[in-house]
Amino acid sequence: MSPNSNSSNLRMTVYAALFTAFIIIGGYISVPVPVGPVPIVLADFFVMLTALFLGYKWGPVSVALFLALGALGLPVFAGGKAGLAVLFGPTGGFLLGYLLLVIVTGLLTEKIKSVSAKGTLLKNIAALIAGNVLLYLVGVPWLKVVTKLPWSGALAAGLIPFIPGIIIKIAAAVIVAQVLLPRFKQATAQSAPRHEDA
Amino acid sequence: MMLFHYVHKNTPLHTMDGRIKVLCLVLLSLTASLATDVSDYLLLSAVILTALFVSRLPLIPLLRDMKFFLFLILFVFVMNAIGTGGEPIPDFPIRSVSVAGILTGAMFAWRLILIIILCAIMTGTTSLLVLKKAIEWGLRPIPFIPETRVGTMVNLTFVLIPVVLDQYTEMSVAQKARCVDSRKNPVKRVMFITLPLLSNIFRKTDELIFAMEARCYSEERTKAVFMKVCPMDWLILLICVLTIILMIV
Repeated sequence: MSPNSNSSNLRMTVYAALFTAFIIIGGYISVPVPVGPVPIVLADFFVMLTALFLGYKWGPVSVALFLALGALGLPVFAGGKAGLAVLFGPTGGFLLGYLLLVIVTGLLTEKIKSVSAKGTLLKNIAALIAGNVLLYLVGVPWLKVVTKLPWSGALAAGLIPFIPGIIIKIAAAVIVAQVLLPRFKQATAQSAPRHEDA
Repeated sequence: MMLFHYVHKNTPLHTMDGRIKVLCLVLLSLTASLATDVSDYLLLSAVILTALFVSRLPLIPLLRDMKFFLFLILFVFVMNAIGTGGEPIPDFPIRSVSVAGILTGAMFAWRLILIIILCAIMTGTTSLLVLKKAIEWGLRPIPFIPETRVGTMVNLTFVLIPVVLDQYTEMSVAQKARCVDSRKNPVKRVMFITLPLLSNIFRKTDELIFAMEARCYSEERTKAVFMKVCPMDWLILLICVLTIILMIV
């Protein structure tokens, strides 16, 4: 890579690392749910923010780094858990689902063009809902297979207690994006063309 | 805060080869998640506590900093004690607490403590540079992954976590001083802290990027150089491998 094209790359590298840090911190703010192995965490809120801010190219990088650090054995998963066993354990589907969420939400928000601020708002909400649906489409069946719960049990442990939380998190992520994203995008755009003559 | 900070000492764990140390960490954390009964936990505790004493990390500050995790550990314990089910304890005021639940809760809490200690040893004896070099080395044979960039990102993540936490502390103290937490509406309260917090952190991050650019950061840099792996390193690796074998058998 030529050193001159590094400016926007460096910016995104640092921001990807920042969002990984967010996701790790979000995992520590975890509340176990008594009915099953899946805790309520803030990590998925930050995964949604990652998708909105970093898009489909750098968002997955950030989430993959989080998963890789966890797989290495650093205690970054919900409630200070770590190791490969967590990645393939009952909640593994949700962790891998984060990747899907980021890719899908990132793709939808970046590929669909919107003119008005209201359009962007609706687009972000739709993209986040689509991403979350996919997350639970992977997470819940995975939970069912690994823990050998019946469908009703898997739903009770993996989906139903989280629905209010998901709605609140989507709303919060959209508000944050609405306020902070324009400036963030502007700064990214400013850092890019300075060296594009390389 | 002493926990998760590098402390310079001259012990076998400090001078150990970074690559082998990361491998040991992977093995031991895998062992921790495989542990099922009390004897497994005793074995693992023995290994990790020995490592803690060998590393000569300051114990009292470490214990004091564990109080940050105390709440989490207690929470894990209580939720498991209530949620596991099984035979309830007669004459106990809370109905759903069972003996099985208390045992499972204790096990989970024990595992959590072990993992925190393990990570404290890892971060306390390994400078970020050594960790970065080890990660770069491990990624080199994997194609399509820019190992220098990943190494830098791992470093940046560990640098930025304390920045985020510091900003949060600063922000919440500033807001308390202005009586924001006496507002009734919880949504407003959360938004009042989230938005300025994130925009402050973004500003800090931008400053970091400028600092890196100003120092001509580039991914074309010298390759990581390693010292010769000494017999002590192999011995420690052997202990970790033996632990996991004993655990599985």
